[in-house]
Amino acid sequence: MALGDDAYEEDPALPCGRTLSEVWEKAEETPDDPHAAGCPHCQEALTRLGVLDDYVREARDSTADEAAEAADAAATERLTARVMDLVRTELRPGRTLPLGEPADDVWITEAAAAKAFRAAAETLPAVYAGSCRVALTAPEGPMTVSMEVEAGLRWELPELAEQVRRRVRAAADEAVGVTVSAVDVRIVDLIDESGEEPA
Amino acid sequence: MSGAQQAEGRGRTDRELRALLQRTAADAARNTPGVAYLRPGLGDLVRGTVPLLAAADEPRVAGVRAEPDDEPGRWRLRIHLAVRRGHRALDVARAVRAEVLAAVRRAYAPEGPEHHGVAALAVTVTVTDLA
Amino acid sequence: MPEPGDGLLAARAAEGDEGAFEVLVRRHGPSLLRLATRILNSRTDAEDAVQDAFVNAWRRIPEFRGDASFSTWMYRIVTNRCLNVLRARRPTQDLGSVPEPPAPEHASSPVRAAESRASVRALGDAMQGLTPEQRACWVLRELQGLPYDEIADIVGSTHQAVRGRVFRARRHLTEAMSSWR
Repeated sequence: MALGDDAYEEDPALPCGRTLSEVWEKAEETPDDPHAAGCPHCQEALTRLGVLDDYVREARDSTADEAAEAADAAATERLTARVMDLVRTELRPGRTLPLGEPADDVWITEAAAAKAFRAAAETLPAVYAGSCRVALTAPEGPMTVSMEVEAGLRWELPELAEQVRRRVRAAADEAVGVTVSAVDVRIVDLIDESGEEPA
Repeated sequence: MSGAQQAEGRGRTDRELRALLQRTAADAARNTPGVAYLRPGLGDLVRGTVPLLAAADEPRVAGVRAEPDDEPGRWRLRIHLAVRRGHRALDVARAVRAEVLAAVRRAYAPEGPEHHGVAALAVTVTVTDLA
Repeated sequence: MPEPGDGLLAARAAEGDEGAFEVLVRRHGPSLLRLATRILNSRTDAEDAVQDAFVNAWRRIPEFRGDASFSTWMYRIVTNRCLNVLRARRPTQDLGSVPEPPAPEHASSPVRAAESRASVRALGDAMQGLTPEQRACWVLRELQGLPYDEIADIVGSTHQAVRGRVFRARRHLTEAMSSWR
């Protein structure tokens, strides 16, 4: 029995003994059921469901034509603009990390530092940076960077990790201005570059 | 003069001075090479704080906040900004700090043209984005 | 080179990278708008619901652990938002009572023309007779084509209960549509 008890008051038995829900579900699960094929009661119930299915198909198709797609694209643009306007009033910059010497009194947010490090890793071909945490090993530094990356199958893993480390260190020095004592690289996914994106 | 009047009078002075300091600092910071734009401060970015600040009826300049310190005449400026790509965040932040200090000194030092009793100034610069 | 995956972008968004979140909004906006439009039978309400859902998702994404896919997670947030809208719209209404038709939406877009085809509208009207839960489950099953288990996950219910709701929705709709023709 497929349905919860509360459904049965609304699930009448046909003269052949099967309930309506059984007939409809069997049609989905075992399309070539011999009983249903020869039973006029089952056939009548399936015809009624078929009528509904036709309308459903029409409704589905009505959102799949070119005009509908253009309207979807416009709606998505509108949606994205509205959402991002609100998001930008609720940013999460993360912790504030010291830049330079204590006397400098200059700082950088973790989000901004992570942006520089991710961008540096992504200068490598077929590399995408994900999570990137920047932590202080002592109150005044140095810092450690932990980064997750996805990369194309063209990469040998040790080579990829080494290249990412090198780019991140260079960015720490040239783009940010902090000392990074360790860069921990975790390769979370390898992407088949010819086909589908990873889930 | 009653205590309330005194507080009000001093408040107004502080408010005017705050607006002036913020404008001076913002101009100096914006004109420093490598600054993409001044950004609403971290405090302003946290959800819920914007209406509170607005309700306080304080002069506001995006990305710059001036606050009087505990001692009279001492002020603290907090600047939040985005650094333009291709510039080093540390160098830009240091330069902004130096430019802001110099600009405020020029305008508000005891021997300067608009002395309003700024005896000491601390400037904190935070890079909040790279653009 | 394919685009970065949802999980990667969600991890970045969780750490405050609003640019990564924007990519997710663009990527999943169209299907979520379609879902909400089908459940709510109104494009305007759907855009509001999906906007609220994404802003809510931005606040909650640090808790998103990636045990569900980002897409399922968003379906859940959008569906719940839509259910709240439907419940507010029709506080008490039993299956089978005569529904108040929704305020007609007149717009000049070409999509309206396609959507206003009589049979599609009739189906939309017939759906007014469903409870919010039946409606959401039926749309997820028949219009979005999701398996029962995933629907159960999205609406926070059991496989059995979802089957029951879809069946009751089908039963109501077959009756409503056969009398329409």
